[in-house]
Amino acid sequence: MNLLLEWVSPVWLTDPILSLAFRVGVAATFLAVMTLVFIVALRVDMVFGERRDSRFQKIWRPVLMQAMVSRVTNPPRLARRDLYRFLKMWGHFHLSVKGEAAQGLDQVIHDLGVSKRILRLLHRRKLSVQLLAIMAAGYMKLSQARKPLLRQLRSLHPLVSLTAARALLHLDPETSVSHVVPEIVRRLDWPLALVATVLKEVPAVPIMGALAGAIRSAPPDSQARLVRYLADTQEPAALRLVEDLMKSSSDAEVLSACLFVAQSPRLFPLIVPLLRHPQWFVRMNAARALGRIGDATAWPLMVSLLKDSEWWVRYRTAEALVRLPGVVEGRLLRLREYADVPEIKSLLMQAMVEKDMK
Amino acid sequence: MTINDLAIFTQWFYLLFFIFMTAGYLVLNFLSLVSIRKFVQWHDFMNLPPVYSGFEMPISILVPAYNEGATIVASVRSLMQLDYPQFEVIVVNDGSRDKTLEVMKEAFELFAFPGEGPRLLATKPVLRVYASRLYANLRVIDKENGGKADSLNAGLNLSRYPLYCSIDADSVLERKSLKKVVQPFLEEPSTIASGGTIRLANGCRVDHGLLVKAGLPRNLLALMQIVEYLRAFLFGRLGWSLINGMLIISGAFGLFRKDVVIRSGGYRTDTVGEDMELVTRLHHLMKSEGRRYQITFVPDPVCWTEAPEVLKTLKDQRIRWQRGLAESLWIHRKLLFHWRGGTVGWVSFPFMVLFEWFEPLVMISGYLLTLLMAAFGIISFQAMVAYLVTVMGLGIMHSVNALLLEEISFHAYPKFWHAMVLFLAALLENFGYRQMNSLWRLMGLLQWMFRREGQWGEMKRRGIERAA
Repeated sequence: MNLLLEWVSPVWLTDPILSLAFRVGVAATFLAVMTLVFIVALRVDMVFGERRDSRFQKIWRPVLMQAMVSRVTNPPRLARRDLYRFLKMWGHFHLSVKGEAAQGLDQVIHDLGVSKRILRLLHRRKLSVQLLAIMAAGYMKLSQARKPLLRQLRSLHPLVSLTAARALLHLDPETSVSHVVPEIVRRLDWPLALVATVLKEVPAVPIMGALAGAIRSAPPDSQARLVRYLADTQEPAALRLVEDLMKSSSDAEVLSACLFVAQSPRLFPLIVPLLRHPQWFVRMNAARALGRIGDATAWPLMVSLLKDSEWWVRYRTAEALVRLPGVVEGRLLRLREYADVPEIKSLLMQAMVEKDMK
Repeated sequence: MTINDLAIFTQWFYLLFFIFMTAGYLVLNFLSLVSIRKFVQWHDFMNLPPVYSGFEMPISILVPAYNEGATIVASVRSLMQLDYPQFEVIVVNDGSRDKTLEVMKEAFELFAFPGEGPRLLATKPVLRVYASRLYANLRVIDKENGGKADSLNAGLNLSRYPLYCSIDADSVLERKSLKKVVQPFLEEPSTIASGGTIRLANGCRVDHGLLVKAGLPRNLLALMQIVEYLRAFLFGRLGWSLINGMLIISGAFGLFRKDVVIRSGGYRTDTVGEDMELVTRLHHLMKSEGRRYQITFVPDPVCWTEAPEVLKTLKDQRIRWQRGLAESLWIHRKLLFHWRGGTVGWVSFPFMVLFEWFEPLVMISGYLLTLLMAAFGIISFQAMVAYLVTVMGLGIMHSVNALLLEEISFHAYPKFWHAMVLFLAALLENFGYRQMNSLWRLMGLLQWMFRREGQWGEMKRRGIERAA
């Protein structure tokens, strides 16, 4: 007891070092205890949340599963506080299925009569809520959402604006194209892969035509980025644009992007001169393009590239030669056998093995 | 100056050092709240099933392996299950003395493959490259022993994709880990590297190389390390990431832009901390070239690894880590207060020097001097207790604060009792574990000063699949 009294005597408070140490120690201990209380409170809240989640899943999972197969005639009432949970589950299913199953999911959310509540969620501050609401509004084709979505299309947040673009294109592709395409051109912060996903989801004809027009008038650095979106499209305006750019552009990045998407054999004569381009990545993409759309006449041109100064050009050329349409295996084997550079033999062998593996 | 003056000066020095150090880490924790807020806000939306467009950046996964015969097959199988549209796995067998290569040959039906890549980086001789008949995207390099850094360089030479991910052979990745760790590259084109969060798999249930259930280990040493990983590695790095001042991306899981790493010269083979050295060098390179860049930390728990449960192994690991840290900071000392150093040169580098490099020295000497001064009657017994309580109180507050951040963000350990056990561990780690750690780190510092040879960090494993 005496020791304890001695310890709490004023010496703790009069000596400046001890006083500081004492105060810091007390404050740290107090904060640690308060943190523990807070952690316990959070855990209790989490336990209740998990129970609510579990009850919700028991009811709604079977309903949504049924909706993907046939119309749910009498869906249960959706509690106000469960709307966010519902959107999460609904979004999860929606992105996992296509066709009639997705239409069934759209139908069930319409039947629930939650359109007005979803419109309100578009303005919520929590990002996940807002994004799920934007996505749902698009799939549901909520015409009242058009105005807020157009505002969100100009949001500085790339994910909000891109999700809004996606929703608008689902809602009404024909009229939304004129709003979305300029944003695709303007927004450098939109991730390439996500934009490509959006473009794949909507009908190609209106958007690819409009995009091709926008690319034509864009500056070269934007053109190089945007041309890549034209991969896989058969839209005539897009094909014409690639051809025109290959004829007119001297920008290595633009040419490289055009070669990346080139699909038409008509481009063959435009590709050939690029095999001697000073930039190695242009030569490499030219070889790859010929591997896709060339024929046996491209053979001698490509063989000469096997001695290029850049390894990647040599490697991709070997790959392209192996895939070149109309080339029989015997010709490849002879090339490999009589190659005067050991590395060519090795590269061709590697490319042939890789082709077999695929 | 009398002994009394010296004693007063010493007391002030140590007390203020600990207060400033804890305050510094708490500031980092609070900075990490910004990233956590983003994580909490996005989490539900980002966890929706991915729709791939074919435009995702393909990734080469590099797995250096040395004497990993017991775990390599399960690790590679789990990698093959990753949810990402285009990736290749390159395992580099660095002259293992066990059956690492043989077990892979059998399990994956390997055959000799013609091709070594462009040889951009010099490495020890590659004996042979193999491909698999079962997985078209698996390659195995068999090379002469040259260390982990040399293996990564050999893997870089063979890799074909613009991004590469370096992982440890015993890492357990979540299926969506690549999708998550590549996100910074998609959102910010100037990103040159991103690090994933490493969690400890001890006590977790791992099945066929995939994490099935998170849990806590029975082993006290592993339990302490869980708190330590949260406190020092997760929330500390998140804070640095926010101000682009992160100097370490763990070798267990990091994604890099290959062209930048090649331009910087690849991994250095003469350091034991090749992962930290590379990141510091990337900062150094980009700063000296005046380029805009970003090195980011991804907070989602994406990679799980086994922590040492044996004192000797843990000691070796910490000595190696401290040596690596000292080497990296020393090599790039010109970054310190460099006029173009930015946040790295003026904030994170000095912080690392003060509170990571010198901390073990200050910590251990502080404890010793306090005990000595009390023993010789220079300070009172109460004063000694007061200092120890303060240092430990600050340590506990720091650890508990990290637990709180974990609670409001990831809560990877789901049970109520998990939180309570972690809280107890956060208290306990301040009574012996942290001091022991400081002592090992001091030994690492001394080893660095006297330049003892480094080698592969061998670790005695229980095996993650049996760790639960």
